[in-house]
Amino acid sequence: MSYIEFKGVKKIYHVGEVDIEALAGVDFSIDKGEFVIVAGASGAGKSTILNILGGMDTCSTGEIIVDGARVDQMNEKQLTDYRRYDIGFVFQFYNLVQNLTALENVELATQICKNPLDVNLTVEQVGLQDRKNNFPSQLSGGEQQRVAIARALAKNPKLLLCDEPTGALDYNTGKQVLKLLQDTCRTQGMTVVIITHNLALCPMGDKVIKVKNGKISSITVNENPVNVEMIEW
Amino acid sequence: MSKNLLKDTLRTIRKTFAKFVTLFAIVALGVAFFVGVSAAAPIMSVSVDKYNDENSFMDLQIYSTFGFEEGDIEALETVDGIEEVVGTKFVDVIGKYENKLWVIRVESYQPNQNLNNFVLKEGRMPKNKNECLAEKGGSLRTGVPLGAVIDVTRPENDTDDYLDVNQLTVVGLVDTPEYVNEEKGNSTLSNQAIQTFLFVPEESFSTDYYSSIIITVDGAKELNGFSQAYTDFIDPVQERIETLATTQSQVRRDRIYQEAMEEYNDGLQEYEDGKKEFNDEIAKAQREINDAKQKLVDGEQEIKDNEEKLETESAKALLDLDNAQKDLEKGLVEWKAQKAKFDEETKPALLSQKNSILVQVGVSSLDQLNGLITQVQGNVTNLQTKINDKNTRLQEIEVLLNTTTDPTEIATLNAEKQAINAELQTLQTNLATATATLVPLTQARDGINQIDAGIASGEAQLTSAKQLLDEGAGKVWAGRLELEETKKDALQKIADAKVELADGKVELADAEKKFAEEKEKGQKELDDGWADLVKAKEDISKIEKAEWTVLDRDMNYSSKTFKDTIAQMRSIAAVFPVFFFLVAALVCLTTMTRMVDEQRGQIGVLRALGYGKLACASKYLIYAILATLLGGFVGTIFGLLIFPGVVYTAWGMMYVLPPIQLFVPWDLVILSNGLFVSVMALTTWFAARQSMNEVPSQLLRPKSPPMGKKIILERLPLIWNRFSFTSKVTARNIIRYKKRFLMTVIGIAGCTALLVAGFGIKDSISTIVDKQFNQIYQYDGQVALDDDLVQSKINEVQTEINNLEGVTNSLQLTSYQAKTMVNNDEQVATVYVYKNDEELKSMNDIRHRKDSKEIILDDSGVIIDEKLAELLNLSVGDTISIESENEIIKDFVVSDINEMYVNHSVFMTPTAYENAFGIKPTTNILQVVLDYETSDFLQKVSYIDGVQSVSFYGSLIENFNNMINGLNVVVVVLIVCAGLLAFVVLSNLTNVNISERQREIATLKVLGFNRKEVNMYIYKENLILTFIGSIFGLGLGVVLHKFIILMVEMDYIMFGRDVSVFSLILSVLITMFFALVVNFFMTFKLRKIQMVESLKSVE
Repeated sequence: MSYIEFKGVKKIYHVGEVDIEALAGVDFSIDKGEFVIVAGASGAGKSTILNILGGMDTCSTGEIIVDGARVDQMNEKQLTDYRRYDIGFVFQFYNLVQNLTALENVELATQICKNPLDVNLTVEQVGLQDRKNNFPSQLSGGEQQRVAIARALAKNPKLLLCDEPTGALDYNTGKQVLKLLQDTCRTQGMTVVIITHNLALCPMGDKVIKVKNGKISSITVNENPVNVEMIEW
Repeated sequence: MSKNLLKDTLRTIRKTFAKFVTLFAIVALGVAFFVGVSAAAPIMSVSVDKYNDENSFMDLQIYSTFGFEEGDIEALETVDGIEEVVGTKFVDVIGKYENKLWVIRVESYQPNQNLNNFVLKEGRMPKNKNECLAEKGGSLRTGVPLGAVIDVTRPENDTDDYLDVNQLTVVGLVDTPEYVNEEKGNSTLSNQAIQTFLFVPEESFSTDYYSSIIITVDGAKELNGFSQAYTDFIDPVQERIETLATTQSQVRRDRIYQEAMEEYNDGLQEYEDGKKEFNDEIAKAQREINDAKQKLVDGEQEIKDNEEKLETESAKALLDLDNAQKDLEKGLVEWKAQKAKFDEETKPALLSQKNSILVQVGVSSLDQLNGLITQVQGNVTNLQTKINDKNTRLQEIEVLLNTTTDPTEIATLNAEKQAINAELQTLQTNLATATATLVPLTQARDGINQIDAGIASGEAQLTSAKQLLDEGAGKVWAGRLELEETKKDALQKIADAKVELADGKVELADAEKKFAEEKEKGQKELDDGWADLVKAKEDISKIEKAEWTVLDRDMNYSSKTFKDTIAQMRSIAAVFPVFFFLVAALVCLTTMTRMVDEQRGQIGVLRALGYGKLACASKYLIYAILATLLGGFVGTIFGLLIFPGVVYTAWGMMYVLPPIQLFVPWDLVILSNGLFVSVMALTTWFAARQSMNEVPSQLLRPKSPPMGKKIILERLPLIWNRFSFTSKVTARNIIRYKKRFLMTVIGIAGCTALLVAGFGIKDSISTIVDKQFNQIYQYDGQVALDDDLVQSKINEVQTEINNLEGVTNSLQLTSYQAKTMVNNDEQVATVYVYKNDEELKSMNDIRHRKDSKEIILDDSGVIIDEKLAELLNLSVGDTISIESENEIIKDFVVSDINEMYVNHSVFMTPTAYENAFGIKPTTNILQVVLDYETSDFLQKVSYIDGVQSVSFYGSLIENFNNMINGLNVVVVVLIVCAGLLAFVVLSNLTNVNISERQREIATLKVLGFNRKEVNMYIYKENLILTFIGSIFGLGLGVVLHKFIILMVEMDYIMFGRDVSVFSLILSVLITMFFALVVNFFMTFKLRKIQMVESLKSVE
C-alpha cells in the first residue's frame, strides 16, 4: 500500500442545473518522501486533486487513502483534524493573514499542531529571520511565499502540498522557492506534491503526474530527479 | 482559540475601526434607549414609592356615612396587620384670597401623626387654629402663597358646622404624597375640582367626629406601592377592615342613636320646662293684667274723690277770701275817713302853728332857721374857741411870766395879758349875747321839729294803716290767685290722671292683646316644638347602621393617575426600544455578513490550516460581541443618565414629584445587554454559518456572484429602452441583489418610521391646543353663577358681563360634571345643556373628525366626544347612562359623536334633560366670547354679584402648553435618537455596500468611468433604495405613531390622531438629507478604491 492512494476519484460540481465533472476518475499513488509534480493545462483538474488530497474539498466518489486512513470517509471534524495535523498547504497567492507578522503567520499554524517545529528555526530555514516581524504588506512576493512555506513546514505535516507555488514569483525567486521545497523533501523526507503548469519542472520530481481533462493522462517516475538549480527555463 | 488568531481578531478590529464603531454605536444607541426608557418607569415608580414610604403615605383610607369616633380608631388598631391608624377631618370650602376664589380641601393633621407626613418646604408649622399650611406645588400651578390670609366659606353657608375659624393664614408651604398630581380630583362641592389644599391643626375644626381614617399596613413599605404584589398584600387587611366595619358601624350607630336619644330627651325636658315656664308666665301675666285692671279701677275712683275734694275745698277757700275782701273794703272806707280828717283838719292846723313859730323868730322856713342857728352856733363856737385860745395864751403867758425874767418880755407879756383879758371880756359878753340869741332859736326849732314830727307821725300812721290795708288786699288778691292756681293745678292733675287713666286703659288693652298674641305664639311654639320632638323621635328610630367605604391607593386620584402614568411609560418602553433593537440587529447582520463574505479567503486559509469551524467563526463572534458589550456598557450608562431624568422631568411638569431616585435596574440592564449580545452573536453566527459550511477550497475562491437574469422591467421595452446604461445597471442591481435591497429598505424604513412617529407625536400633542381652544371652543371662558339665582338676576349678571370691555358675546346655559357609564365602565364628563342646536353652534364648532358631515343637536339624543365613545365603547345609536345635576342616573341615546380633545363632553337639549330626569335643568353658567382680554378682566368678573367662579381658557391653555412642552422634550429626544439611528444605519449600509462591490467599482474605474460616473453608479442605487425605504417608512411610521399615541393618551385627553403632511415630508427629507450626507462622505471612500489592489484576484 502506498503512502497516498487515489482510487477512482470523481469530483462533480453541481451549479444550478449544470453538472461539471472536474475529475472524471483519477487513480494514482504516491510514496512517502516522494517529490511529486502534478502538471497539466489550466482547468485540467490539478488543483481539484490537490484540494481533495489536502482535505480542503471532498470527492464525489472514489477512495482516497493517506497513510492508511480513508480520507474520503472522513467527516467534517475528521477532515479538519486531518488538515490540522497531517497537511501543510502552500497556495499560489500565499494567503497570509495580513494582520499578522511573518512570524505570527507561522505561529498561527503551529499553535494548533501536535508536534510543530520551532517557529523561529523554520523562519530561519526559509531565510527570513530578518523579516520575521514584518507584515505581509511589507514583504515582497517571494518573501511572502517563503513565509507561507515556513508556515506549512512548521506544522511538521505528513504531506506538503503546493498549488503553483511559484505562479506569482519571478524566475529566480521561484527557483529559490522550489529549491527550498526540494531540500525539505530530501532532508526531512517530507512527501511533497507540487502543482505546476510549467512542464520544465517535471525533471525535478520523483514522480510526475500529468492531468488532462479531469483524468490522469500519465504518471512518470524519474529515476534521477534533477536539482532545480540545474533546470533552466 | 489560538493566540495568533486572537491577535488577528484584535488587529482586524483596529483596521476596520469604522465598522467596529458603527456596530458599537448602534448597540449603544439601542441599549441606551432600551435601558433608559425601560428604566424610566421603574425609576419613576421607585422614586415616588420611596417618597411615599418616607412620608408614610397611607395604604388605606376609610370613609363612613356617619363619620368616625375614637372608638373606631381603637377598634381598627386591633386589626391584624395594621400599623398606624389616624383620624382626619376634612371639608371642602371656597377660599377667597385677593379676589380670587379657590376650591380648597381643608384637611386636619395631628402634630405627632406618623402617617401621610408632609414635607415642610417653606415657612413654619401652625401654632394655633387660625394658621394653616398651603401647597408648595410644582411648575404648572402653585397653591396659595405664603402669608396669604384666606376667607373660607361654603356655598351652603354651613362653614361653622365644620370649621371653628372663618379665616386662615398661611404660615408654611408643604408637599404631600397625598397630592402628587397637580390635578387633585373632585371636591364635594357640586363636583367642582379641588384646586388646592390646606392643612390645619385639628383645633381648627369644630366637628367632634373624624371625616376619614387613614391607615398604614405593617410591612407594606417593603413592597413597591405600584406593584401587584403590594395590592395583593393589602387586600387581606382591607377585607379584615371591612369585616370589622360590620360590627364597628353598629357600634357607631348605637352611639349616635344614644347621643340622639340623649339630645331628644334633653329636648323633651326642655319642652316640659318650657311648657311649665310658659304656663307660669301666662298665669303671672294674667295676674298682672288683673292687677293692672284693678289699679285702673282704683285710679278712677281716686280721681273721682279728688275731684270732689277739689270742689269742696275750693268753695271754702273762695268763701274765706270773699269775707276777707269784705273786711278790707270796710277798713278802707274807714281809713279814707281818717285820712280826710287828718288832711283837712289836723295837718293844716299843725302847719299854721309851725308857720307862726317861724314868723316869731323871723325866718320863713325851717332851713333858714337851721341856718341861723348854725350861724349863731358858729359864733358861739368861734367865741368859745377864741376864748379858749385866749385862755390858753394866758396860761402860756403865765407860764412865761413865771419863767422869764426879762422885763421887756415881762412887760410885753403883761401887756399882752392885759390885752387878752380885755379881749376876753369882750368875747365873754359876745358869747353871752350869742348864747342868749340862740335859745329862742333852738326853742323854735324844737317846736317846729315837734310839729313836723307830729305831722310825720300822723302821716306815717295813715300810711302804715293804708299799707296794712293794701297788704291785706294784696293778700286777698294773692289768695285768689293762689286759689286759682291751686284749682288749676288740681284740675290739671286730675286731667293728667284722667289721661293717664285713659292711657292706662289703652295700655291694658294692648297688653291684653299682646298677651293673647304671645300666648298664642307661645303655644304655637310649644306645639311646633312638640311636633319636632315627635319627628326627631321618628328620625331617630330610622337611624341606620353606618356604612364604611374602604379605599386603597387606587382610589386616591393622585396615586392612581401616577400609577397610570407609570403604566404608560412601560408601554412606551415596551414599544420604542424594540424598534431600535430590531434596527440594531439588522445592522449587525448586514455588517457581519459583509465582513464574513469579504474575508472568506482568510477563512479559507484558516480552515485549510486546520482551524475548526468555531475557531474561524469566533473571530467574527468576538468582533461582534466585543462591540456589543462595549456598546452595551456605554449605552447603559448614557441611557440611565439621560432618559429617566428627561422623562421624569417631563412628567414633573404635571406632577409635584420628589427628587428622582436613580438606581440601576440590574435586571433590565442584564436583560437588555444579554439580549443584544445574544442577538448579535446569533446574527453573526448566522452570517458566518454559510461560510462555515463551505469546503476550504471553495472559500479560497471568490464567491460566485448570483446569476444574471432578466428583470421584469426588461419585459417592458417601452420603458426599458429609454433607460440610460447606468440606469439599466442600477435597475438590475437593485433587483438582483435582493438581500441588499431588502436590508437597505428595511433599515431606511425603520429610521423614517421613527422620525415620522417622533414628529407625529409632536404634531398630535401640539394641535390639540389650537384645535380644541381655537377651533372647537368658540368661547373663551365660563362664568359659574351662584346657586339659586332667579332668572332676572341671571339676566342682570349677563348684562353686566356683556358690558365689560372686550366681551363680544355671552350665552346662558346649564353645565355640570356628571358620571357617565356603560355597564361597569365609568367616566366623568361635563354635560352642557344648550337650548338648541343654534346656541350650541354659536359657542362651539361641533364636527366629526373624520368626515365633514354636519352634526345636529336635537331632542332625540346626546352628542358625546370621540374619546368618551372610545373609552366606553359606544357608537351612534347606543345607550349611555348619565347623571343629572342631582345625581339621578338615566339612560340616553347617543345621537352623534364629535371631535374633542380635552375632557369629555355631553351635549343635550333642555327637553332631552327634562324628558329623562323629570325636572328642568338650572341655568348655572355663562359662556363668554372675548375679543381680547384686559388685565383686570377676571377680577372684574369675579366681583360681579351673582358670580361664583370664573374660568377662562387663557390660563388653561398656558397649563396645557406647559404640559405639552414637557412632552415635547421627550419627543425631541426621540427625534434626535431616530435621526442618529438613521445616520448610523445609512452610513453603515453604504459603507458595506461599497466594500462589497469594491471589485466592481475598481473595474469601472479601469474601464474609464470618471469620478462622477462612479459616484452616480453607487448613489443612484442608494437614493432609489433610500427613497423606497422612506416611503415604506412613512406607512410604518404612521402606524407606529398611532400606536404610541393611544398608549400615551390619558383618559381625558385625545391627542390629534393625524401626522401632519408637513411632518411626513419632513421625515422623508431628513432621511434623504442623511443619505446625501452619508453619500458625500462615501465619495472619499470611493476615491480611495485602488484599482489594482481591488482587482487582484485569488483565482
